[in-house]
Amino acid sequence: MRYWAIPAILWAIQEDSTPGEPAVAITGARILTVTKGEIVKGTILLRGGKIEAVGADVQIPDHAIVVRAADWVALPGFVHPYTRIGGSASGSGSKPAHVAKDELNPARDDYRAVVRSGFTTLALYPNGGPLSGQSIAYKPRGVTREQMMLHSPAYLRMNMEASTAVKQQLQSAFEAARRAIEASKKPPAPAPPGKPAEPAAPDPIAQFLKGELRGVIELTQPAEYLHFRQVMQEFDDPAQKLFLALTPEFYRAKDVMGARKERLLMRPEPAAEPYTRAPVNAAAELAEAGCEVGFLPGDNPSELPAFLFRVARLVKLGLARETALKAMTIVPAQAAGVGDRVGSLEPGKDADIVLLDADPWTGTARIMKVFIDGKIEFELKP
Amino acid sequence: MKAINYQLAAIGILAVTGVGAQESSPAKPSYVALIGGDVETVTDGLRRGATVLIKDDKILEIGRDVDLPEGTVRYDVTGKIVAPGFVAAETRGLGLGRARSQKIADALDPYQDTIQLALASGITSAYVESGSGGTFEDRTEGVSATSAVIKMSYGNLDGMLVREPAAVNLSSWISGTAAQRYQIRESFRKAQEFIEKLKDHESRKAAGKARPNEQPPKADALELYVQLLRGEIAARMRAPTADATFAALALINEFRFKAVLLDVCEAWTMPEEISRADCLCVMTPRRKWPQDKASNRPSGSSIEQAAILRRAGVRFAVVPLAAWIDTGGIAGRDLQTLPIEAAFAVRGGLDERTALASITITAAEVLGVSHRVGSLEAGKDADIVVLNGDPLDYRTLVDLTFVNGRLLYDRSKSPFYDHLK
Amino acid sequence: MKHLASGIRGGVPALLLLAVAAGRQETNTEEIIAIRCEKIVTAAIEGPQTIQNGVILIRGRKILKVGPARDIEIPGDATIVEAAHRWALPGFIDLHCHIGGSMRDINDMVHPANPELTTRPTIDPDNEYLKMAVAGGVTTVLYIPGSGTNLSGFGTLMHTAGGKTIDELIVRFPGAMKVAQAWNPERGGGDLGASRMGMWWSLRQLLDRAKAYDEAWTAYETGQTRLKPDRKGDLDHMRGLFQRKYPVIIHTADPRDVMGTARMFHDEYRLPCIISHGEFGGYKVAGELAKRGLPANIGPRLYDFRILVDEGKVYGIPTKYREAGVERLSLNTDAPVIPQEDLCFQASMAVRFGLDPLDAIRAITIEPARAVLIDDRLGSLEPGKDADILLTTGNPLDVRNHVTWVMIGGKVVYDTAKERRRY
Repeated sequence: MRYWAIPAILWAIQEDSTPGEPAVAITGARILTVTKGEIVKGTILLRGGKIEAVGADVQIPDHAIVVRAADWVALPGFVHPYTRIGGSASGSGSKPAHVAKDELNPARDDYRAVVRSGFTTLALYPNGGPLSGQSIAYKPRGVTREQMMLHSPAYLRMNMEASTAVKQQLQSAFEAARRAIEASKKPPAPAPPGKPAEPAAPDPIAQFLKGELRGVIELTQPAEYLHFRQVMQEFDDPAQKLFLALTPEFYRAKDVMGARKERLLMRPEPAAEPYTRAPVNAAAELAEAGCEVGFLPGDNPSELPAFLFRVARLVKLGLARETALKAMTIVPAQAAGVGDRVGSLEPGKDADIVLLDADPWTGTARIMKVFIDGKIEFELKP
Repeated sequence: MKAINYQLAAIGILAVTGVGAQESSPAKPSYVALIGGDVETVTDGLRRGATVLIKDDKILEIGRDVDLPEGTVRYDVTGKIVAPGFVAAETRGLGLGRARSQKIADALDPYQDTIQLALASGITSAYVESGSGGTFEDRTEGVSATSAVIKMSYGNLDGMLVREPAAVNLSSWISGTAAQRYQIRESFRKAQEFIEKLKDHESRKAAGKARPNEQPPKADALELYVQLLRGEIAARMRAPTADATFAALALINEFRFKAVLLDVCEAWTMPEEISRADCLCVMTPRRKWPQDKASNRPSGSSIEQAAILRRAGVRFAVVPLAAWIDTGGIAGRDLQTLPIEAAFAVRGGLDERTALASITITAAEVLGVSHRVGSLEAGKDADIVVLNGDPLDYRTLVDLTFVNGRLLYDRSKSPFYDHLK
Repeated sequence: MKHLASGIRGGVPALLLLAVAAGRQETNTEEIIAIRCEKIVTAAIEGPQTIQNGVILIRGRKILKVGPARDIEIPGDATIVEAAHRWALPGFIDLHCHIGGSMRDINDMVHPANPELTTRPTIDPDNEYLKMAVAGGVTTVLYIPGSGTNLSGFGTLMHTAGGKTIDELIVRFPGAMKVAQAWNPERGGGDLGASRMGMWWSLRQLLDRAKAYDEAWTAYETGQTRLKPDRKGDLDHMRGLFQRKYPVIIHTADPRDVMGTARMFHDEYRLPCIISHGEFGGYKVAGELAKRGLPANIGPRLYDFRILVDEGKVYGIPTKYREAGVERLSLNTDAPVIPQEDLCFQASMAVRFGLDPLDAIRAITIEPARAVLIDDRLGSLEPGKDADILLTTGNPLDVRNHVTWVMIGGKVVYDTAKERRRY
């Protein structure tokens, strides 16, 4: 709450949580829980930064601060799963061991636009090279890195290009990691006497191959998906948690990607058919083909306020509402490795909530309030 | 959303459904039959009213009485011409992605838009070169590009590469400096020496006379020259003029390697010499080269070149004036009308059979892939076009294009030409 | 009966033949040549378009008779061209040609409008492009300046062969005035004519001046006034436009230019005009041309795809004009954009994209002749017209056929039986 006045009535909930901390009750809202369906008119009870209860008949405790949200719509804060917002402008390293935490910059003023646009969690990735490092998940609030941090590492970030050099680089990195995995399965050599064996630092590539660390690979042209799968052929493991960050143009590969039930992160925009300007609802086609779709809101803070509108446009063009809602919340949360903390309105999850004054798919809904960890971080002044 | 995505969806769906179909049931063969068309086999004449049966990605059988296995997908092509997909012996800008790559195999883009237009033009295989940054430049003197033969297998990476490298570009023998020519001759000479050394090593080894642990000699940077001398790969040399052609022939006659002369315009003035050197040519009948008024021998281009070469027994491929897909509105001069360029060779007196061969089997020979594509024969790749008329007629359109047994273009379902008769 | 048979290899060098033909014409204009052929495509404005087993009688530079062999009696002293397996057609005409000179001399770009310039002195009669043009059956071209300026000068209607000097090649001078609408002539220097606004203003200003100039001279010449107007060299050639002796040919690039051209030159100034190019979606206002009966001269692009057309369709531009009711349709090459000899191939491609084959032949013969107001002399095989005649091995639209023999003004200018074949 660094940039705007705090309403006096809500001052209490700014305080650190203490045993006696009052609860906050958001009442009368239509609640889109994402994972547990829709509540036509209900209450969300928040306490200690967490969601305590969600439902139509939630008992509102005495002394609870009531936020009246009749005719409003409550949904989880949006999750931006793949961004350079929050990072250093000069970029970062290009080693798999690099973690983006080191470049997270609390002093940037982008966060205001981020929160105002409904985003409550972001994943910052380190850029540079085919294997550029590990991302982190953070929340756009707080004045120190530690206050912002949510989860680290979130995923191994990879970047694909259809060329011999990049394919070989990925191939040899995976081969080295696989050799390391094989070697680790053998009984360890006895430690030299008097010196306890030092545990080796975990190899993020090996962790990715084993499914212990998520991976996100950025692809630009649809053909690069085929080339990547060609590289992955011998390293494939069902345990792997891989997300593909790509463009709407990839609808062309929907059948091959759908057959594998790929998890995608893509911009909420229609693709254009070649040789026509006919729009293709790429997200809808890919979802129908069997892919799991999450949205990529973009890296320019000035375009973030249009995010909800863009998604609403795809819904108007035929994208299923449920798919759209998940693509803004739980899917990107899972990509960032924080699906257990954020991305849906369920008891025990972080109290990251967006209140809209109308149905999100009207295209004209305004973001009225944004809660992060139970605290109002943005509200639209009348 | 379906309503909005009304146009090219058909193409996309056709393409990728094929991919999915094969991947989902790799064990069960799929059969496709083209029934009742006049089958222009190219290598075995015209078979009227015949059936072409495809099994997976290969041609299984061609004939009048073909038993169709259960579940065969049938296309009635009565009244149509069934021909091998056209082979473009030279192209630019087809099928490669955005990145520079050492190997073309790693940069193929089967989703490239222009592939759809190539398919609509009946082209199923093409020679591609990726200009600079190739490995050969590092490895071999005088050779500067990677090359491959690829298929227009829209949406499918696996069946796209036919061979790489497809040829060695030795144009610098003609256009290069004296020093470059010297290096090329030296490389050939050293490659010859290497082959002798290797023979020697092998014969001594066979006779038990080799030293213990004796390693065979290594070709290293000469590898491509060794392949050239062994006839495993062809050299391509751009030789528009008679002078250039004489220069090329001198090298070919000295080292006896498989060669392709590109862009020949004055070859008609020396057909016997080319025939004796046993090299293939690539030409464009309409390509013009001015007469050299100072020359004491015939010069300049001739529309009759193809016919003259044919009479001398020289085999050649025809390529269009513009070796790419041009969508700017200029008609009949680019890859989209490859057969029409071959028809111009007929204008110059060439027989129609050889003209059709010049964009199918001979073009495949030029590219070293005639064992797989370029004609309709049992066992060959099922790269097939169905045409609504004589292949060399200026009005003829492609109705269906199959690559590796998959229907990737259907005129009635693609917007490009569905409004034409 | 002397036989000048095509297909019989004779030893007469072409040059000698020309000399003989020329000499004959001077000494005896009454001498008659008879062509007997398999098929005649007359391209006549009205009447039968094709004649099987036809005969064409030529006297001097003119066609005397055209008809079926059974109806035409060949005089006993006629020279007979035996062409039993040939088709005969009128020489092809291209209204958008830049290859009459050296190709470097067609754009003079100091002023935005240059009515004082003409292509006439730049003609090079011994030009290689013209030699190829003849071999492709093109006998007449409107050799016009480029599109580097808004009004780039006057073109020359000329033959592609049959003359050793500029004057001998000229069919008519001026052939037409060349105007280029937006895109190419837009001036990057920031001076007048950087936009359509400036170009159209300066064109109107010039047309107003020229109209007044013509009216003043006409009044003087017809004795309505004794006041002799001052000579203005830059406006002299423009008088012929207002007297409808020759047209304006306008390079247009899109629907806006096509429409603007029709409005300015036809509706406002009532000048004979030819809409040239008409590509880039220009067909979208083709109906407006049809209403006005304006001729369209399409090329070098023959299909629209991607540019202003978003349906993924390859549309034949000539077909679109025809469908919109434009009957006065001709095709061009914009040579050297398309080589001059491929004018007939342009017709082939127009057919590939949906144009009727006969319309396509007319679009390179009689229609361009009408558009450029020379159809009293050229463009069809009809009695009284100039003997500009081709023989081909068959339907010229099929690229497998070729031109074997060309006559211009009664003189044989190309004969593959007697010289190296060019195309």
